[in-house]
Amino acid sequence: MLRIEHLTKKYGAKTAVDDLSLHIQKGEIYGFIGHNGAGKTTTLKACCGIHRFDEGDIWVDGTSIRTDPLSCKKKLAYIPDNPDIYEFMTGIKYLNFIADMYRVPKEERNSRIHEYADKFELTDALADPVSSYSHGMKQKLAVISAWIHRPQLIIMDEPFVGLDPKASHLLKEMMREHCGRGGAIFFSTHVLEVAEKLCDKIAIIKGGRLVISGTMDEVLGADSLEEVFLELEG
Amino acid sequence: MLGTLIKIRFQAIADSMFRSSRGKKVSAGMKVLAALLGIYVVAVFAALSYLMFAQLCEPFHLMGIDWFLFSFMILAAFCLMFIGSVFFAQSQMYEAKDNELLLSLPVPVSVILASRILTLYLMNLAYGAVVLLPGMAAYAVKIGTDAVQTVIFLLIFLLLPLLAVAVSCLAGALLSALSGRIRRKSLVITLLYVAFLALYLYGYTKLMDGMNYLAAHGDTLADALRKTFLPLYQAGAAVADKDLFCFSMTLVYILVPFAVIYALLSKSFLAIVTAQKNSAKRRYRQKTLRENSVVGALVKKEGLHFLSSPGYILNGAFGSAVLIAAAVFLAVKQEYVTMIAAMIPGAQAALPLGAVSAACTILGTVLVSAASISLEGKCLWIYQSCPVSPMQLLHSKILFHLIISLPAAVIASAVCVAVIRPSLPDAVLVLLSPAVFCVFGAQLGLIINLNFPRFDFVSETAVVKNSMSSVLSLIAQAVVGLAPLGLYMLAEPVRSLGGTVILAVYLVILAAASAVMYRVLRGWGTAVLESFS
Repeated sequence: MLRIEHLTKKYGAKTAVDDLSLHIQKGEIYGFIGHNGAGKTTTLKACCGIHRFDEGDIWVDGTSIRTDPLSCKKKLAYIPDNPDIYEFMTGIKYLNFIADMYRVPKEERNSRIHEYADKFELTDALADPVSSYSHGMKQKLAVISAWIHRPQLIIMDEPFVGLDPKASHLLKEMMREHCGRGGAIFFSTHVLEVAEKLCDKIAIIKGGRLVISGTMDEVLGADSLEEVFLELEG
Repeated sequence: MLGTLIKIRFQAIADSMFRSSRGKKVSAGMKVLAALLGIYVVAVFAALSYLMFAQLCEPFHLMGIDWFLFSFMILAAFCLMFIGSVFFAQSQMYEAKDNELLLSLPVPVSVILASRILTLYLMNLAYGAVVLLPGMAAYAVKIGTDAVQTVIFLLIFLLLPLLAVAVSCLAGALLSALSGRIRRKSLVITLLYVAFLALYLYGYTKLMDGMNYLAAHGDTLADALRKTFLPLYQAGAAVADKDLFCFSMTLVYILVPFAVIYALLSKSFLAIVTAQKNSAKRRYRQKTLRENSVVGALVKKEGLHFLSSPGYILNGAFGSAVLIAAAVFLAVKQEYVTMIAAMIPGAQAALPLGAVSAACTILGTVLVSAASISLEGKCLWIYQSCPVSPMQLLHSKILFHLIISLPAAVIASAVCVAVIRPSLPDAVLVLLSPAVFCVFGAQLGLIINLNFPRFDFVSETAVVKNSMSSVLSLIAQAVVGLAPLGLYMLAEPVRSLGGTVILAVYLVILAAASAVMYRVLRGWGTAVLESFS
């Protein structure tokens, strides 16, 4: 579903991501772990076409994001680490706007928006401007907007930050459901317990380079993720 | 600490002018250009004040009511300070984005408040200087002054902004409290601002109209003012008559309200800035959602953004409002055109050219597209992660600029044709040129904004009003708008071509430039847009 080959991204003289290769299969929840500034966000943004990169390539379901970004973007959804959403819109207008961007048919957008808004208990706030939303409410809105067009691949940067326990639990369920339907999820997190319980595979990145990747068993062995992470981080 | 806070405030203002968020520094040449433009604007206002007061000095002096001149000066300065700073007080004192950050730091609330008030004071001092200093200069030249009078005047000049600060802070607090409780906040604020401005301009035009009346009947008006509004009389008399009692009373009128407001704010500032400002909650009623095309949805988004911000409406689309107002004025006062045509030799032939030039110059103050890329701000990721091509985004911004400017251009052109009654070729040119200018301006603004984007702004108003992109777009469009009339008036070889030919060439140039800019946007523009991260 997502194939990253020899990805290198530089900011001037600084190499943010250095020759990174990862393969994410359909049905997988893939966790991306690393310290602050390790290159996680840069990688995620490159995968969804926000950042250009210097070397390598990224394929979404066989399509190169470098040569055909629009086709790739149709198949994926992105949730950033900080849900900066148009504050001048109401929640419902924002969701409808996103549905327009992905050309979601009228009937489906209506049912999906209200289904997810009900799940996240956001329906009553849909008529309010986003500027009046708390951080958690904005995060819920960003999650709903990512699920509206039923993308094949969902890329999330720290998706659990700001969510209450109930919403976090719901999001985890939705992630599993999505992968159960043949989709894939690639997300970064600092919450190692969540990664350990939720992910099928993980990758640890340090200083822009991939340190280790694979299934939980391959990476952890007998240790906990925290122990492995701290050991690798040195 | 106070000095640092004030420095930061002014740094932020300068930063919004001279730095792009991509770290690209604005060149020294651009800085000089912006400074020259600033000096030009101040010089024009100061010259207007000088001429106005110079006209009144002698008649008032002959009537022995010099104090009325100073009262009048002080009142005009106070009004300008109030109008200029009331919304600034609201946004910078009570709704400043760094209020919470500063409150979390070990900085006393009194110091935060003092830094805000001092910034407001300096701003009001600058407004006051544009009215009071030329006024006093006019008095010194026409009538003469001495050291004592100058010192009293300067003290009032330095202290008067405190009164304006007090009143602005009070009005700003009311506006802030009000805007937290109403739904259509931006509409209310826009209407209030327009009402204030209209009132000021109405007063100003009435004043200009009645200048002769004022000069002839100053004594009657002065007598009425003395009886009805003693503080203003005393302020004028303090300067004119060097009356120390009146001066002391003026100090009381200025300092007491300021001290009261400052004391009140010291006690309530924390409560005001931390109050919940959520507008009245709306009940959500499920309705079938309407589908839009991608570009349609993007244009709609631009519209919602525009309507949400009074600063965006007032600074971005003021030109359209002025053009429609000018068209209505022209339709009502058609005799003005006949008068001008009769007064100036050759004016009749140049009327279509003049109308097009005037309409285009006014349309050049529409700054919607020049700020639209910057206004994506931190939400740029939404467009970047959606399956939207850069050109679709650029199209939406061009279209929205046209939605704001084109109707005004069409109305104004139609009125001009109806009033001037030009020949058929001229009529076609008058109808087409402003419309094509709108397309030209929309694309020019976008190109400039792509060169000077500003994504990390604190205030949207600053982006629309003060950013390098807006200033450059304003200047460039003004130059292009004024070009046909300017060339016609100043260059004999151009004039000899005749108005119709000049207009036809102008239209062809505008259309060609628009076509070239469209190609530039398709190539370079999309590449630049894709490179933003």
